[in-house]
Amino acid sequence: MSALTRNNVTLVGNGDTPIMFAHGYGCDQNVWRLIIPAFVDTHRVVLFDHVGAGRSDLLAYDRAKYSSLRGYAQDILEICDQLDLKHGIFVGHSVSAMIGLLAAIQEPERFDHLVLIGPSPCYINDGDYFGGFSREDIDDLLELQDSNYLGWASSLAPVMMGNPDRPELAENLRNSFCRTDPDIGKQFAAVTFLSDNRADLPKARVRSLILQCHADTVAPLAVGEYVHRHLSDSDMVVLDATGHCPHLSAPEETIEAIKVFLGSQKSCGIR
Amino acid sequence: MNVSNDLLQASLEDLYEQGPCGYVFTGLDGMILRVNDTLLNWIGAVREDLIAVRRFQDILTVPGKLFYENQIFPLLRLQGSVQGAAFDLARRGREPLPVLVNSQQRTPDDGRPVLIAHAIFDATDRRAYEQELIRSRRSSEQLAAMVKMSSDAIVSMSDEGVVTTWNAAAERLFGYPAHEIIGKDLRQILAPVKEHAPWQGIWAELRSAHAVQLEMVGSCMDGRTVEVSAGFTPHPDLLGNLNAVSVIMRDIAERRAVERLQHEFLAVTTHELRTPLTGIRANAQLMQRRAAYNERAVAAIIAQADTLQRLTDDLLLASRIQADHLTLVLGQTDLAAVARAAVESLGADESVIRVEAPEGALMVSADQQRLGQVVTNLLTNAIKYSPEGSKITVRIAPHMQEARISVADHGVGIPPDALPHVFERFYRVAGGTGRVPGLGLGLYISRRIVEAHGGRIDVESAPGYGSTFTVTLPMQPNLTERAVTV
Repeated sequence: MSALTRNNVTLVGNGDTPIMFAHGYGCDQNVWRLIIPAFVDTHRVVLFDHVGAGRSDLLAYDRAKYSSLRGYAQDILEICDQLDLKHGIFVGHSVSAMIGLLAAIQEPERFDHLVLIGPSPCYINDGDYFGGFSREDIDDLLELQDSNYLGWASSLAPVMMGNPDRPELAENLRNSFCRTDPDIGKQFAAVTFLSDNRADLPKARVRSLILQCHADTVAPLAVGEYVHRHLSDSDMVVLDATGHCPHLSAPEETIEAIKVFLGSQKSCGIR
Repeated sequence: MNVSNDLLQASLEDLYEQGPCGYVFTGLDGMILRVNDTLLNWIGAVREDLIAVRRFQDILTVPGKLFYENQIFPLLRLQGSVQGAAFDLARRGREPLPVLVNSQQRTPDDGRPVLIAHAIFDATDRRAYEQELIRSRRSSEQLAAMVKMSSDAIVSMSDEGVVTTWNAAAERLFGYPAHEIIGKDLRQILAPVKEHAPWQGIWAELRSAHAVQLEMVGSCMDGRTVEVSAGFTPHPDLLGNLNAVSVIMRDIAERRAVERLQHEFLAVTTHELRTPLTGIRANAQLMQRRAAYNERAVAAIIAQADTLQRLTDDLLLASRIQADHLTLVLGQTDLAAVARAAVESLGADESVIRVEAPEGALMVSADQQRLGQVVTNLLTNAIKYSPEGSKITVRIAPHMQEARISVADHGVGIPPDALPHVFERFYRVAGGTGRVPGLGLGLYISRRIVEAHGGRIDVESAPGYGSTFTVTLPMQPNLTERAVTV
């Protein structure tokens, strides 16, 4: 199975420099729809769905492989390999910021720039480290997710499961977003929120931008600052946007910050 | 109707404020712009706490914030509305309130969304049902795992006998993989044992909501048959009509074999005990009829009483061994002397039973009486299974640190398929020319006695040429007398 099919890779744009966008837990590549128009003329845009999300191949889901973020990083490197992608830009939201970082550590020639939107190396508070959440919060999140999948599973569950011979169902999917198989969604949530990648931060040598929102309950300012401190060649920009998804709530500001970063040659510190 | 617009407006206003659901209006950034009284009552807040101060996600519990930011907000932005998302409202000094939220982006005519409207419903009851459903789903997953791993065949079928589930143990028992058998009639491969009720009878019981437990015969995929004990549990619907049946089946071949053995043993024992009793009675009647003492009849009565004594001793010993209550009294014992005493006790002369032993004594640490019993058993067997007057040889020899005593005959021998079983309890070699008396306990008792001494007993046999039984015992020459309970 080709990684391009498995991860439902979409290629758009006329530029040379590749820019890959990676969605976080809870949605799929559709989250980038307000951002990509700004890059299609100048870049070669690579979009994909993590396995288990969107229109990825659910049959490729392997509970052991995806029990850690490294399984997802592996997929990104396989996509890069098949596209012969080198010296590109990686834009990752939330958990995918860490996934991209792991990929960049493993194969540094793939990306020259990382844009990390709302990154967190560890969501759970640990001694002096403030991640924002307790283990109990995450367990409760998994339960809440169960309730949601029960209640509106009809809008979240992938219709394609078990109906590969009925392509007309795929048509219906075209207008729906963020579908996740309940079991996969639950494991992805657990892996996302229980991972601890603090030790990986110093290993990265790549130029990085941390895009931090005001009042982000998922990745608070203190966490963004922690990432900035431990990533050797990083800038941090605190956006006026609030919440955890500036690419959806404040796309213009997000685009502007990314473009400034890519245009700048040296670190400009906290804006 | 003559209702003033003001009154209508006031009623609508009341309905909005006091209605059964909470309303929250926010900007795109989530900042709360307007809430109704119902919501304020639910969370125990006043407007000043919320308006332009808190965002929608701030009135949710922590897991709710995570879920909203990661799953609901993106969905809301991408498709404009989200129906029925489950959250908990954080409440001051009270348990969180489970709610369902319908969220909608409000977009004015110029096309850019400016507002998000959340309608919030109390979902306390529903959440309780959901929890119950999730719990029962988990427990049914556990049950399914148990069925999958069970060593008993567990099968379910429709009210018409069509197989609907077939676990791994059923696959092993019958050889049919699930996909071959699901959808077929179980009655094609499972039949009641003759003496039991036919299928119609079983079905009648099940339709009256009675469980049925019985032994049946199954036909395996490879043509073998398998004896099973089958338990049928009916699952009636509310009106009492049979809905489905679950069946648990277990291979009972082993249990059946033991039962057969016990049955045979009873028959043999009865026969063996009756023969001397008949003799005693006949001889006693003879003297009674003649009203005279008869030396030969009395001798026969005593001989038959001895036979009875031996039989009951064997039974008693076997039951002690079975219950691990055999006691050995160990002492320095000369094997050759034991062998000669056994030959003597059988009244056989040197021309029939030859004893070959080395010069002097061959001492082992053993229970002399029990060991004598072993040699006697072996000799009795040799005589029973040999033609009249055929020679029997007892050989005694040291071998390394062990002593061996063997009994060789030129009798009928033992068929190869029977060889592995001759030392088992109640085992008697089948077939042969005629019925040989005995309980099938002699070799079993002998093996257990020898093993209790730390030794072993082996047999070699060629049908038609004879058998050799060999007892091997450790010598341990300096063992003093002691009692050992095994």
